[in-house]
Amino acid sequence: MDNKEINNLPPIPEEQRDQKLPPPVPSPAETPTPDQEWADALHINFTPPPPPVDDASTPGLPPIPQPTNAHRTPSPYPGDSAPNPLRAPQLSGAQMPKSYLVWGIIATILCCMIPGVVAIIYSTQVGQKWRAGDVAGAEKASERAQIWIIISIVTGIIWSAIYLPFTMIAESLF
Amino acid sequence: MIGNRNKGILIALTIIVVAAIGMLYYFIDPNLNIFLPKCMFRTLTGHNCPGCGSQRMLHALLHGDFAAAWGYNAFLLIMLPVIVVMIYLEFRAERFPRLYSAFHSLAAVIILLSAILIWWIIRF
Repeated sequence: MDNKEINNLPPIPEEQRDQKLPPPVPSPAETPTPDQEWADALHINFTPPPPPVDDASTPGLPPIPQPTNAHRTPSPYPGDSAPNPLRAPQLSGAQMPKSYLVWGIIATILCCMIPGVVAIIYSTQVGQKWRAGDVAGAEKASERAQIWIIISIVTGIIWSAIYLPFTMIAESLF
Repeated sequence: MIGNRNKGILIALTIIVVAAIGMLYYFIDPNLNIFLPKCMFRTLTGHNCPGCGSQRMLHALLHGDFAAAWGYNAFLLIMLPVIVVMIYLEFRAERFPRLYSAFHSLAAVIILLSAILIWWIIRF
């Protein structure tokens, strides 16, 4: 077939082009594996191993139908192209627990350094454990950061209340 | 999880608290008022902590005296916009996920903590 013949062919309509595309993944029944060919040659009953299951999909659920034109039309949502760093790779849809980092920094600077720094350390552990896939550890670190921020707030309130009597007593003593 | 309604209440509460603190430090001069608490660390040890002077700095800043604000606590004056951005990101993490995770990365936290430590050593 030379170029002239190709040019003389009638144009294929848009809908038929998609239908003529080969399927992206050939089904295992159509293409026999080398194991299956050997089993046929030797007249042995051969059951092929189950196909590898994606981590994301549960084996009990039916496969998610993919739209045929997905590779052509870009997604209308800008977030779809880039992975969201707040979402865990293994738990799509789950949100990272709060790290309370800014409150730890404010507590460290304005009031109480020691509980504030402990809170900041737990805040950094939230993100680290979340990115490593340790969801329970991230939630625990988030809770501990929250507890240490509450401790520093309470310390600040107590200090504000006892500051004036404390300094008056201290000045009268020394 | 925080619902939309609770989130709105939380944002309103934050705005009210910030406005109240602003009013307080605009009308009360921490140099003259004995009821405002002084830093715990400074009262107990006599040395400056990284946040010492923040009340006087806020008072000077609200009166437009940037030179005095710089003199009271230069580090906190620089950090104020960063803190405002971080508080905003606490409520809008979903809208700016990349910026949020950049501010919460280990490198950012180490930079922040070492900046606080260096500032403390400078003014100790």
